[in-house]
Amino acid sequence: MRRRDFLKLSATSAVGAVIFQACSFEDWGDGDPDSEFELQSPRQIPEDYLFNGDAWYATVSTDSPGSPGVIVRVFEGRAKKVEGNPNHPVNAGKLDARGQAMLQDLYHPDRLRIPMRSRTTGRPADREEISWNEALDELSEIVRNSQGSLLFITSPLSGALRQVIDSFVEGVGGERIVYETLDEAALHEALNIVFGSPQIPAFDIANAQFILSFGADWLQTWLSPTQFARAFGDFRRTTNGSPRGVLFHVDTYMSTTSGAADRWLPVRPGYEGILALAIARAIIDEGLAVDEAGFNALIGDQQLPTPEEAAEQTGISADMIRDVAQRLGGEGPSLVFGGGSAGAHSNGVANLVAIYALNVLIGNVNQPGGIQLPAPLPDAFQGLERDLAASVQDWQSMIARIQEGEFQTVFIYDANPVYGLSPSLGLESALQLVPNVVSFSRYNDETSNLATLYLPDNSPLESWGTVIPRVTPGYPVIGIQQPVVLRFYDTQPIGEVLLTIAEEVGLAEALPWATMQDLVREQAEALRASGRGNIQATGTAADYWTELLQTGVWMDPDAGPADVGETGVMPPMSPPQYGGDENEFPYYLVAYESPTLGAGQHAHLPWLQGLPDPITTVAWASWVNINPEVAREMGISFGDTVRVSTPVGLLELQAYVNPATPPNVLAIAMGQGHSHYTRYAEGRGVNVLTLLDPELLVSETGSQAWAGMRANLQRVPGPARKLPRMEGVVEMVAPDDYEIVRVVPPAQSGN
Amino acid sequence: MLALPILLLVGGIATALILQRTVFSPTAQAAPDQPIDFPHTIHATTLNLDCSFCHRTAAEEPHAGVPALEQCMFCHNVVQPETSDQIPLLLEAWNNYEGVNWNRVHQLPDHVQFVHEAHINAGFECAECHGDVENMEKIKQVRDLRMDDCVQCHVENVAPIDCTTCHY
Repeated sequence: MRRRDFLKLSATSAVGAVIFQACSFEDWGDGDPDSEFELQSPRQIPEDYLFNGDAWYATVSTDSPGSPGVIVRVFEGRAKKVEGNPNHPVNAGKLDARGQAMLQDLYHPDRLRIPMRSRTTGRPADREEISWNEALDELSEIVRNSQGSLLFITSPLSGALRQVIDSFVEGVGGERIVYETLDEAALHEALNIVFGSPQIPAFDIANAQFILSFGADWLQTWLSPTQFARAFGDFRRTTNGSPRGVLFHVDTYMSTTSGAADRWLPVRPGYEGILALAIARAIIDEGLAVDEAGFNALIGDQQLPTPEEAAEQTGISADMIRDVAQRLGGEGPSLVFGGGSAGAHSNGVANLVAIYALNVLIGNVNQPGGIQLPAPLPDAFQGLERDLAASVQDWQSMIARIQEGEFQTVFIYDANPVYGLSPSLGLESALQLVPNVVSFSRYNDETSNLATLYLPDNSPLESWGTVIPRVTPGYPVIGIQQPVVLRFYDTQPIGEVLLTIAEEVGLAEALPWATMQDLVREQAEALRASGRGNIQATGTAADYWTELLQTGVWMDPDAGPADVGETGVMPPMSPPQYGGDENEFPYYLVAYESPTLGAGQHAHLPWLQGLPDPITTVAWASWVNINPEVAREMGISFGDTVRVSTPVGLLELQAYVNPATPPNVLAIAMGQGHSHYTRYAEGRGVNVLTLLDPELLVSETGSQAWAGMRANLQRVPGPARKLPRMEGVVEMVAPDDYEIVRVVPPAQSGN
Repeated sequence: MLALPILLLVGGIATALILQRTVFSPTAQAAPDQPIDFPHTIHATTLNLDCSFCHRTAAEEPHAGVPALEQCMFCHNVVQPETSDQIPLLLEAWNNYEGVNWNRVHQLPDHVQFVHEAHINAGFECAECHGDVENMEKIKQVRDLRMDDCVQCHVENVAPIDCTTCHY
């Protein structure tokens, strides 16, 4: 809408209050000066049309890790603020920065606003805008001509959208491949071995007394950080009479979780499992084991190293290993969990089995303060839980099939594998060979840049859906996603697009719903029919629907934890393989998920770009954490440009001399280095994922062993450059000159 | 020599002032035709509906509010065409999913902010500015509502006359 039209409408009447809702009224904003003297009675009163009447709608933040529930303040038809939904058990009213930044996603100036056809792939200037009618005609034509040769690339889906896309893919005889940068396949495999189910269990952090965690920055990025951080608050709190919980965190670099822990155990990368086995041995030797037989069944004939043997390999002292064992076997519930870098080594599955088997050894499975195995979902949602992502090995074979011309058509939704997968896998060039690449993405990112047809999706705040969280509190939870505002641009939700063309492509039976809302209502009716859950108004479907939307979540806290299923045996524990020779590449490369930008998917949001990294306070940039001793030896000072290289790649970025970085580690956050992904992300920083070797895999799952790379470091001659950061902006007052806290004995305190 | 230009200038100014007060005055303008001849006489007088029944936000918002057709249909679902030849126009717009574009009667310049809420809550009747709407077949502007009118009224009622009261 043009500024003139905007002002004109504002001036006309109170109806102007709903100016953005009114964008769809053709008579308005038509640029005709005569309209300035007109005043419209719209046909219907749009919701939220009055001034000073704000409304809070419950929905789900699908972009935040863990899919927390949110409530959105809507004022004059516009979404103004996002907060956590107090009813949603995942986050209980709390929300992370990514959830807050949903608004910027909604109003993003670089969102794709209208369908487009591309004459030349990869050249935005060669795109022409088309109407939705044309776009849908073209899409139907493409689908009809691609029976059996359609590939659908998506992010992990759950609930209603998964049902629609799965039915669509099955109906057209296509295939779907799920992309997620850090796939956690090793974690799912390990959980399957230890607990007999690949689903991620609930960690009862709030009620534990001692937590030992491995590898995952679970207070910032891992799986469901809002949920974990909230529980961590309860874990530390002593007001309810319980003692303050104690956290030991095993990790290869100083993450936020490492910083929040009582003890950070900087383990040698890839030796987390050896450490866990040594702790198990100490527990058994001290006579603290509860279920030794169960533990032994899980680890098979694996020899347990002594604390002294493990100390040599892991870099964690034998005394510390015994101390941890004492704490784990002590009074009060103890909890052990891990993931992230601990599972991203060639021996990742064995590592994680050893870690999670400690829970069996100390007998905390399905106990308060322990691991809670999730109860099954209601029947209508069976098979609709969050997808597990494909491994790099799966991608390798899929890319080979694309190159061989097996697919006439590739659909892309909410996934950016061209950015996240190693360039050497050749996905970019493979996609350029595909005749029809249809992007449903909201942005022109590295992958959708290759599309031939663009059908931009709605923002999550403009869409219907049901969302099953990745980590539940131990009982079934289904988030209800509803549009809280009308469409801001001329976009259509992917689900509705597929439902719209269903009849034309012969899928009327497989996709019988007219809209996504119909499907969500049908699912709501199934929940009502189940007779379970938190919604009280079960009298009529309409009442149930209203309360469900107001609550924003269905859950069944009465469903107890599931029993342990058929367990397996740990694969043989072997030392990790590293990507790179120790002499040529003397440092461990720790690539970690950015607390704000994730693995790159949030780099387009300026709030998140500008949010300082919690450890270094750097924003809007890439940097490498270097130990001060190493920096001194190499003559590197803060802000110097350095070259970090691995056997597969090389990056130049600025040095951040960080005293909390182990001497043999170079730590770089993921998320930056986009060539296409809106004005806020493009050309900013470097993409550390390009330093990872796609041939270095987790043995059992074929997923990328992204934590197992070695790297070299060189200083690039030249002056230091400023690195944007909060730290040091305000000059510190030297403690010698200014006594901040005076410590005096009670006798001198005066009272 | 200067007398003629001065005379012309003074005469011109006087003529402009007279024209501004007469033929160019808002109150001198003809009542505009409307796409539907909505009779305030029937709604406000015969049916005795309060102004705020339709102009719902007058006491709460800057704008008094023009009702959506949905609100007309509250009654005209039942009150059907036989009572007036204008009602079919309303039903046509409703059934065609269209709005109705009324011609503005009261239009202040863009740089003036008039807040209905403040005036209604200060105790003024709608008729103070809008006149005897209840008896108008066709709505017409009856009060000048230009700056001197506003300022004079503000002075009489001891309301603020800072520039930013209205220009913000």
